[in-house]
Amino acid sequence: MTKIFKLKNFTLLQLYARAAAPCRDYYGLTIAESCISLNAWKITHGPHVTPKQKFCLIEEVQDDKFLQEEIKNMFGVSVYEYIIDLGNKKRKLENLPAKLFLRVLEYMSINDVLHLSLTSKIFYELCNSERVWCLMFQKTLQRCPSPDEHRMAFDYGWREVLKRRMTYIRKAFADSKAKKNMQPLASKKKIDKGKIIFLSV
Amino acid sequence: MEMPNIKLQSSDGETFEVDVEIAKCSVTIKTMLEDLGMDDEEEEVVPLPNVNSAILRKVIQWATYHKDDPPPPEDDENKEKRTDDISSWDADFLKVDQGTLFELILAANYLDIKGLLDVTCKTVANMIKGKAPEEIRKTFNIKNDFTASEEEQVRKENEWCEEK
Repeated sequence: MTKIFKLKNFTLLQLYARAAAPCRDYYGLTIAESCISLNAWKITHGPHVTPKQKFCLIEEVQDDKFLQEEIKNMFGVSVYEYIIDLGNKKRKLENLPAKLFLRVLEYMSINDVLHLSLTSKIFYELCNSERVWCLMFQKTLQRCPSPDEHRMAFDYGWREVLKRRMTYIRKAFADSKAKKNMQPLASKKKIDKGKIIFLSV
Repeated sequence: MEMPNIKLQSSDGETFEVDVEIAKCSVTIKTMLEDLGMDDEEEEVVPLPNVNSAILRKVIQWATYHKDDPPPPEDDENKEKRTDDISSWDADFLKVDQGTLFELILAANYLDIKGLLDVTCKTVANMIKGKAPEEIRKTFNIKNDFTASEEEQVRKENEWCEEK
């Protein structure tokens, strides 16, 4: 019980992977601040198998050779090294607790977050969590999401919702600019003062 | 009247004697003192198992300099978060290696010192803001593990936001 509680509150990364063909085994890996949880659905030889779940304290991963191999094979060496660094309490940007990583991102623009996500696979995952894009949505648009947008985010994710809104606003802005250029000079001022209205699509 | 002192003990056992008012800029310590109803007469030691002596020394140095600051404003959701308002003293104070900087963030979070947490997070954000991915990799010593085609794919995914 306590383990599950800890996982939910301090999750850093949640990753999924499927074994290479012809295997169809499916893996889910949750990395939290103090432990990891590996779920394996070994369904290659039949679908009626319940997932096997394995918990391991983060500093004990380096003693479990079998778990290490499974992580390396399914999620890659960089994920494995990330977990080992966490266990060794290495102080790095990517090892900050989720809450504090988010606090640093609060000061950055969408472009900065996207640039950070391009630096490595771990940062790509860290920068593309729902928490990050829900934050970027509110920060960029300076408002809370509407119920409609919450529903949309449930289906498509916050990054996609923000992308659609931004595309829409940019288009509206470009349209109004084009319109403005066609207007005679006298009425130009009025449109300058016009604001872009956020419409729910 | 002289200010009473209290003793703070770091994770590696070193004890620091600090003015109570300075120690109280940490909400964690303030709450601890209030909850325990610590008496000025007694020689109490407050243990801080999550902070080592090197970091605790830095935190006390910061708190001593900022002891007369007005309390930091509450977080306002709608307020633009600035990073260009770091004082020159703080900027000098935070010219440390990255390990220490991240330790300070963790300590400020544990001790609940909002001012220090804000300024350390801003410093890290400034190391990322406005930089190209390659520069960020250099700054934080990040190994690029994308293949060329994977990187191209992510670059494409990110295109929607780049200002034209």
